[in-house]
Amino acid sequence: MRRFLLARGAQALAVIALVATLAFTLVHLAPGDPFAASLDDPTNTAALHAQQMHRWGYDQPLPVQYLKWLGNLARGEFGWSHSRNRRVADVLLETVPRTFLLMGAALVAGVLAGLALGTWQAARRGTPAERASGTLATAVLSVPEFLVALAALALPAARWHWFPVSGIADPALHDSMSAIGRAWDVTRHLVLPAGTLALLTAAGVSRYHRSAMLAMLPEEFVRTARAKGAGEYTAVVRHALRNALGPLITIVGLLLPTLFGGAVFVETIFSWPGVGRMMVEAVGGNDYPLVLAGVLVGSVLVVLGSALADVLSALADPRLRIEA
Amino acid sequence: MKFAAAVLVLFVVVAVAAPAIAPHDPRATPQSETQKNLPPSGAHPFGTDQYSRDVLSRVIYGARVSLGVAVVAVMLALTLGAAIGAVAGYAGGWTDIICMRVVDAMLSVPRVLLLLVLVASTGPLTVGGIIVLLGCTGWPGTSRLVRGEVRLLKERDYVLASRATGTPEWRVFVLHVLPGLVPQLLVTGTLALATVIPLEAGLSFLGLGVQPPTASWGNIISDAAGRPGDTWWVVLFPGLAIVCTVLAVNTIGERLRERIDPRGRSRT
Amino acid sequence: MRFHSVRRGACVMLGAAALLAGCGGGDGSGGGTVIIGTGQDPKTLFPPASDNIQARVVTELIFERLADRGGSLNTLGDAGFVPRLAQRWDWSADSLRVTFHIDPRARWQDGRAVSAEDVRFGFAVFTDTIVGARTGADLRAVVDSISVGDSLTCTVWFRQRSPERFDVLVTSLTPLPAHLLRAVRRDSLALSGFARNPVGNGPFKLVNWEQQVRLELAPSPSYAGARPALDRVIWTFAPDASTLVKQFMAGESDFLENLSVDDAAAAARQPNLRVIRLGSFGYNFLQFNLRDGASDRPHPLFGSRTLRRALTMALDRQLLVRSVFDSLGRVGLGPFVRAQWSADTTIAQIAFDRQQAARLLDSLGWHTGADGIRTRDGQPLAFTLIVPTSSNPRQSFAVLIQEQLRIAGVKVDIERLDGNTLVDRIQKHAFEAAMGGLAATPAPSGVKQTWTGAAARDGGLNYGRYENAAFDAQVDSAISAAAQASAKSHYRAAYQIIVDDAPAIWLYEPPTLDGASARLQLGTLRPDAWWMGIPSWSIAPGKRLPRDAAPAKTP
Repeated sequence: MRRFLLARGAQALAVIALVATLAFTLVHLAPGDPFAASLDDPTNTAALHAQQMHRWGYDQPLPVQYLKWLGNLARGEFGWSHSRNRRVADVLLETVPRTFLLMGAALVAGVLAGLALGTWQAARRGTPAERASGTLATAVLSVPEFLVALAALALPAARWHWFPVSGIADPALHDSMSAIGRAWDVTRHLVLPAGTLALLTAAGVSRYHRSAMLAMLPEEFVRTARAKGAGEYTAVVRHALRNALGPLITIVGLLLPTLFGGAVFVETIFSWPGVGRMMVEAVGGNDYPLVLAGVLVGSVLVVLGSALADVLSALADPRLRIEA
Repeated sequence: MKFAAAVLVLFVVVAVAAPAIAPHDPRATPQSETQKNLPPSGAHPFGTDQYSRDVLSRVIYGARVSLGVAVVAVMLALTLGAAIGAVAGYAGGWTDIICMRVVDAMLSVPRVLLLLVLVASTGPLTVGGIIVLLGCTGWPGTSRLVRGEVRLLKERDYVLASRATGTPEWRVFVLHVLPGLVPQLLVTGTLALATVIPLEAGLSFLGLGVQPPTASWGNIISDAAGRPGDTWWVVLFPGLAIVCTVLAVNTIGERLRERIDPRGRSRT
Repeated sequence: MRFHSVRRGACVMLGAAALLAGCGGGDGSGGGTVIIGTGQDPKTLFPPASDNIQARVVTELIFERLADRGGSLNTLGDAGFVPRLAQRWDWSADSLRVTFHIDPRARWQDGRAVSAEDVRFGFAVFTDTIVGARTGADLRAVVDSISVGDSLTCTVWFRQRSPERFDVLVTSLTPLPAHLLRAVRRDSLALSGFARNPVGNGPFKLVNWEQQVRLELAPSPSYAGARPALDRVIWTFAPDASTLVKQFMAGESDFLENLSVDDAAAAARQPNLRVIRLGSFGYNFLQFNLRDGASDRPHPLFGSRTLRRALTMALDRQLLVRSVFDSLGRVGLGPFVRAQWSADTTIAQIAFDRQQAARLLDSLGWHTGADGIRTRDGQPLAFTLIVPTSSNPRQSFAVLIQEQLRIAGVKVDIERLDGNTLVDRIQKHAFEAAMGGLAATPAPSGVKQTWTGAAARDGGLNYGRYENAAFDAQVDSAISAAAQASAKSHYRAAYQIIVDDAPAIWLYEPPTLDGASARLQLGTLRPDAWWMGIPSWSIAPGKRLPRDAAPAKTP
């Protein structure tokens, strides 16, 4: 087991190192730079600009900049964010937990809803309601996240005022609330953005889970159980459910990249101050160190997710260990 | 399936015949401001946008761009994926290891992030540029698939036999290995379409994709998203177009997969 | 600070809750809370480093300068200037020196008295090239040095008697707390903790700033002047313009700057909102590059004054402005805005006249070809216009201009570039024509940095490299004229020359439309700096919301 873990860890590290190099190269090929002048601002003179570029070492050859960046990275130093005038690490400490909160809430809600729906569909297979729900799930999976988010913003928030339009908490009242009040406040702000992501997660999980259940639950079982009455039927479903849950870990691992990608749109539209919105703003401002950090965070998350899924699966099924 | 195919064919016909079908010039901005933000009516079934342009015409022309970009990008991704997968599978050794680690690396960055960084490094793109970017970020999955198949097939008798007669490797691949992969690639390609169409729309929505005034479904939506909910028609119709297309493509892709690989039904 | 409390939360949910947890307290005296929606964070709250508008807004409320331009928007001499940090000032007989007497009650927010040394220290920091302050160059050009008399008096020594020297001095220089910053290395001042947690001397103090989320100000207890009526001013940040608008329309924010024309119309229909139109300080134009790319040769088309005039004549600027801004925009008149004191609306313009434009083009040898495009010696009359993708109005104008010039037989290719690339191309003079825009200030002397021959060289901002010695001479006379009347007549002459030469087609002054909740009592907003009125804003009685009663957080 230790060799498996080591091998898997080394592989994960190699992948992340490769990502870092790719990202660095791409980012520095960009036209413009972190201190590019604003056209309308006559006070940003060429001399000031050159001074800034020199001050931060952007006038050095690219390989030199790359080695420096790697060296800093190895010491856990992500660099300085020019657009926020702070250490990148501090920015990440603020934004990453918020994205985790958003994705975590979406994942929990989405997986639970997906499991419930998939189980129900497996049990009610063939009925018109089940078929309709299946089509609906496929339809939901066909809607881009940003459309769902736009709709959620336009109707429940802006038109009907059920939920706040944007942000992570009430800007004026949050601080004077009780602990419960604050939790409720954050939850209210979380519903629409997390709900958007959860909807898509639930649709994906339900489709997977329905087929997994069906594989465990031969037709005759259900028919017999139904004939014998609800008690036994429930028992059968419970049996199948237990067996179908294992591979779910893998599915969740695979969902992470999609979810993270969705977070980019959802965070931008709902002004959720997490990593996704940070990335969009950093790309817009040519804030290289911040862009790179964002890419690294995203890929570490994905690599960790899939590595964790591998390890858990290996724990559950010793045969898989030999392959690695 | 039939219905889905019909929907898709309809969209393709609309895209191809756009100039014949569209009631107005999608870029035309009349010399007065009276046509702004009109709700759907007889003259403008999908209404008009903030520049007085006919939304129906823009959605029709947008189909050209959105579908065209997606189809060409997916073909590019499949070609790249097949080529890289074949090289890795045949060559083995270090080539294989390097190729597959690059695949791992690319798959480990959420594709949207990868595209964000790429767009940042290129600046606003032409339609061709977007195709290249989407194509160049879509190949890793395919290459992994092709590599696996190549490694299985290259030891088969008929492949070994034709190699023994002195046929060059690439011909062996094209003549004997590739045909066996076609069904798989077809399924992969169809399903890839279903991810690329929303992706292009999303990028255009963030202002990083197709640049106005060229209409794509994504940028029609982003043009209107800045407005406070009272011009729903500018968002709804291109949005519906995206959803219908993706739904149709997804349905067809799933059916194709079930047909060539009945066991695969449990995969998501 | 809040963001350190992340450590406490073991699980993610708790962590984020803790992230937002404050430590309530204090008692609201009933002044109320105003929430202002805005797109971007200030990058820094260190005044010399402030380089975006949001940083300016917040630092100008936290820090006070010696005097303030006031509502008159005059920039000549010291007429209309209001005492702030300085109670009064006296001029030397030769008017090359001015001595400021600092208000003895003025305090830094850590309790230390503001001293003359802080003014001198501020000057040293602003003019130190290591610091790279945006206003440093202006300040260096006008002020020679500052000497300290006693702890409350300092004397500013000017280099020459330029009429706008007082304006430049008080708008470019923010006194800084020497006792806190002297020990910090100059090149790391902008990165120090002070830049995120400034100690100012103005009417407001920073309570809390969470990047991407919110920034809160509260009245500063150590401020000697009148206490602001509001208890709290909170900015919330949202990157997406539509989200900001929806937030404002839903009543989640009370004030939103720079509405689009359509959003303003929608806001005006809502009874609880109103739209305020301010004088504009931006002007936009189609800029010709008079030289052939970066070379010194004249541009084959735009080297010709007659051709530039003909193109100007071919455009119906009234219609263009109405198409994009409805009735709210104004046609540009020249390299100035109507809100500047030097503005002159009677300058003879090149009027829209398609026939005359056609005759001029014919006379230059450009004759209409088969496809409607004019040609000369087989060359089509065509040029490429570069446009920033970041600006909606400029793109709209470009598209409309393309159509109007097509009618005149001129082919315009539009090239859309992102902001960075566009700036890069313009700075390298690698363009034929560009949709340009400039942010002016109340001081009309800015024209020297943007349109004179001096600005056409050495990285100056005259990117189209228009040069006319007569224009330059009039601008110089205007800048050095002491009396407003004589300055005005020189500016007028200069403007007439440049308008006749048509180095650009003066297109529009974009409307500045701000949205405010009807519950706010705002007084008059200053067009050059609306935020300077915030200390006197208040909530209308009977229109209070729960958020008005919430106590300010103690930092």
